[in-house]
Amino acid sequence: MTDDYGTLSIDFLVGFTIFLLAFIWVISMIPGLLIGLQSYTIDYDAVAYRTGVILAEDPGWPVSPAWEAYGDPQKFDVIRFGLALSKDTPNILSQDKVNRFFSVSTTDPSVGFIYPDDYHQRAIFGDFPYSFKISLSDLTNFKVQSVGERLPDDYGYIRRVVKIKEMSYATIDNVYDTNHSYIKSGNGSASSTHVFSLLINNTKLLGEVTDPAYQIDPSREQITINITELKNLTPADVNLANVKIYKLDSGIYSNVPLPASNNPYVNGSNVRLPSSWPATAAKNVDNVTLKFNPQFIDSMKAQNSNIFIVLKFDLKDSVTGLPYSGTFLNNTQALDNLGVMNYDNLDGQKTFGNNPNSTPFDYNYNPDNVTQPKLRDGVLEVAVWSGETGIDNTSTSMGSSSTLFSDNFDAADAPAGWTVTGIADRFSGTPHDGAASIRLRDTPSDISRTISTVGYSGISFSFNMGSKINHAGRYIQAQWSSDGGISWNTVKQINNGDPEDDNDLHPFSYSLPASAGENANFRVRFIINAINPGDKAYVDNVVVGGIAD
Amino acid sequence: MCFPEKGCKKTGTRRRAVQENTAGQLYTIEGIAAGLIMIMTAYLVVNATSVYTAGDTHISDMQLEQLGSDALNIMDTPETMNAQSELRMIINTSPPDGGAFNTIFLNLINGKAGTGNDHIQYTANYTCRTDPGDSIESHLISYSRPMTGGEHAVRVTKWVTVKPSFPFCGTTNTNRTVLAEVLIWRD
Amino acid sequence: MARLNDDAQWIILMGFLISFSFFFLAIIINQSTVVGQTTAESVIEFPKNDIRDLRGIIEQSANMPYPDNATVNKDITVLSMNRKNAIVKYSVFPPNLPSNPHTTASIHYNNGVTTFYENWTSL
Repeated sequence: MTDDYGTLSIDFLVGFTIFLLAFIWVISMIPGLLIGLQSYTIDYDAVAYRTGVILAEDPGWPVSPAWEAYGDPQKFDVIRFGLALSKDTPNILSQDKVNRFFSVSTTDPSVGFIYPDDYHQRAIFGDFPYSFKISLSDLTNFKVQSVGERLPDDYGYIRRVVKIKEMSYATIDNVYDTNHSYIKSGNGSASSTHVFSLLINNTKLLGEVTDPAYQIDPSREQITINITELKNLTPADVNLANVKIYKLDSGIYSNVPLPASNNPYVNGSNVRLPSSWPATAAKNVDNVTLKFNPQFIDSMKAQNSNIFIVLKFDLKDSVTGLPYSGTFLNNTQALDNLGVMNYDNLDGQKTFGNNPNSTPFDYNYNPDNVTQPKLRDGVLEVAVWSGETGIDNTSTSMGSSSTLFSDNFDAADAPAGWTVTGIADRFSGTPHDGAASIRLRDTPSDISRTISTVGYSGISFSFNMGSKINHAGRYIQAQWSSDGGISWNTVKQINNGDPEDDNDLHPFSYSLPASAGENANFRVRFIINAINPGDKAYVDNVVVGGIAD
Repeated sequence: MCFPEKGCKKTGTRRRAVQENTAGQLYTIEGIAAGLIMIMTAYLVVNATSVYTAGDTHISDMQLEQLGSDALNIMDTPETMNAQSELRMIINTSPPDGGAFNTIFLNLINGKAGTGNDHIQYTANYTCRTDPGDSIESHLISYSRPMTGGEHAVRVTKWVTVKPSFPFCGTTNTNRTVLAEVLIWRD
Repeated sequence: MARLNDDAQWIILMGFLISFSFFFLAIIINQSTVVGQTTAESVIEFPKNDIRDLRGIIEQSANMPYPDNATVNKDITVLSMNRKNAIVKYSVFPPNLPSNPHTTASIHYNNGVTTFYENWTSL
C-alpha cells in the first residue's frame, strides 16, 4: 500500500534537489547561447543594400507618368521611389527625381513628401520601423542633399557611386538677339508687335539619340529656355503679351492651351507669372524663362510631332506708353489669310517658313544652341539603424539653402533695425500677415537695411508686398543694392492701377545674381514715391536666403 | 545482518524478512539521471552553436565590391555624348595613364556624402589577349600603395574597348577589348 | 509479479523535456546567425555587374566593322574563360533589311553557378 501521509521521503527530496540544481545551472547557460544573436548589424546592412539598389538602379514606379510628377493628392499612387533615369541606365540618376525625392517636410505635403512615413513605405520597406539617413553628394558642385536623422554610432551602410544627369537648357543671349532682330512682324509695315518662336522637334530629338543618358526628352525631363538681355535691344519698354503653344502633327497645327502652372518666369523671379497673365501683359521684361513641366509635355502626346512655342512681345514707348515701332527679336510673321498681322490666328502655315529669316529657334543637339545634358559624378549613401536619434536639421530643407535674414515685423518695435525715411510704421490693420506689417505712406518714404551675405551665394530675396495708390504715376518698389545703397536694382514695382495695387499683400520671390552674394554691403530697400496723403505701401515677411559655401 | 552481496557468507542462519526501503532511491537515481542528461545536452549544444563575426558574413566584402564596380562603371561612362570615357582614354595611351586613373578612381571610391573620406586602397591592371592566339598578357595601370598580402581584398572588373594607334597586344589600329581589373581593400 | 516502480519517471521526463527544448532553441539560434551570411554571400555570388558589363560591351561591339568584331569576340571569350572563370559565347547578326531593321545578338553566359541567356535586339 502506498504511503499517503503526505510526507516526502528524504530520498525523494535529494533526488529532486539534484535535478533542480542541474536544471538551474543549465538554464543559466541559455543567455550565453543568445550572445550570438546580436545580428542587427547584419540585418541593417542588408536593408541598406536593398534601399541603395532601389534608389540607384531603379526608376521608381510608376514610370509613365513619372512618380516625381505626382502632387500630394496622388501621393498614394506612388508605389516606389527610384532615382535612376530608366531601367536601362542604372547608376545614372535623373535630376528631377533627385529634387523631388529630397523635398522633405514633416508636416506640409505641399512642400514635399512627409518624413518618415512616406519614405518608409516607398524606399525602405518592411514592417520594422527602421530609422535611416539617405544622402546624395554632388562631387562636382560640392552640394549635399539628405533626408533622415542624425547618424548613431553603429548602423548598416551602403555607398554607391552614381552619375547625375543635368537638365539641358538653352540661353538666348544678346548675340543671338541682335542677330535676329527685325523690324516687322507685320506685312511690310513696321510694327510694335514682335513674335518669336522656338521649335522642339520631338521626332529628331528622340530619333537622333536613343541612349536615355544623353537624350533630350522634354516629356521626361524639364527643359529650360532663357531669353535674356532684351532691354539691350530697344529703348522701348518690352511687354510680354502672350505665349502660345502649337503642335504640328502630320501636317496639322493645333493650339495647346498653356496652363497657369506652366506660365513663364520673368526678370529672374522664382514665381511664375500669375493666372491674371496674359490678360494683363507682363511689363518691363528684360528676360523671360520658359520651364515646361515634363508631365505637361507628356500630356500633349507629341512624341512624333513638333512643338512650337510662340512668344508675343509688345513694345511701348517708355514715356508716352504708346506702341513703339522698332527692331526687336522676332523670327515670325504673324499673318492671316489677307496678309494682315493677326497673332491670335497663327496657323503655322504662313507663319513659319515664308521669310528665310523666320526659322524658329531649334532646341536640338547642337551645342551652339543648347547646352547639352552632362553627367556629373555623385555619391549616394544609405544608412539604416533602429531607434530614433532626432532629425538632421541641417539638411532636410529643400536644396541646401538656408535663411540668412528674416523679418515678419510682428515685434512691437518693428521696423527696428531698419533705416527709415519718411513715414513707415508698424501696421496691424488690413493688410498684414501674422501680427503686423510695415506701412509706408503719404510722403516719399522708404525702409532699408544692410544684410551681409559674406559666406553665401545663390542669394534669394523674398517678401510680401502690396499697395493702395490712388494717384497716377505713383508706385512702390522693392530694390536691392550690391554697393551699400549707391545704386539700386529694382526687382518689383507696383504702380497705381496694377493688379497688385489692391490693398492686399502678394508674395514675391527672386533669385539674385552673383553680385548679391559674398557681399558685406548687400542692402535691401522698400520705397514709395508718394506725395499725396492716402497712398500707401505694405511690406511683410522679408526673407533673404543663400547657400552656404 | 548478513547479506550475500555485502560479502559475508551465508552460513545457514535464519534469514530475516527485513527489507530496506529503497523506494526513495528511485527518486534520487532518476534525479541524477535527469540532471546528467540535461548537463550533457547543454554541453553539446553550447559547443555546437557558432558565433559569427562580421568578417564571416562577408558584408564588408559585398559593400566593397559594389563600390568598386560602381566606380569602374562610372569611369567608363562618358560625360557627354560622343565623348570618350575616362577609362578608355587611360588605357588607350602608351603606357597607360596611371596618374589620371589614380586621381579619378580614388576620388570616386573614397568620396563620402558626409564629412571625411574613406581609406580604400587599390591595385589596377588590365589584361588583354595577344592576337593571334589564346595567350593573355597583363599590364599594370597604377596602384595607390603596395599590397602587403595581409589585407582582405576584393576584385572588380570592367570590360573596356580601345582602339590604340600604337602596337597593342598584337594588333595596331584595331578595336580591341581588354579586361580592367582592380583589387581593392580597406586600410 | 512486481510492477516496476515508475513513480519517479516524471523527473526523467522533465529532464528529457528540458533537453529537447534546449536542442530546439539551439537549432533556431543557429539558423538565425546564418541569415546575414547568406544575404551577403548571395549578393556577391550573383554576377549582376558581370552580366550588365557583358551586355554593354556586346552592344558596343555590335556596331564594329569586320574583322574588328571577330577580334573582339575572341578577346571576350578568351579573357572570360581565363580571368572570370566564365564561359561566354555570343553572336551578332546585322540588320536584315527590309524585314528586320534591328541588329540582334544572342548571348550565352555561364560561370558555373549562374547561367544567362538572352536574345538582344537593338533599338
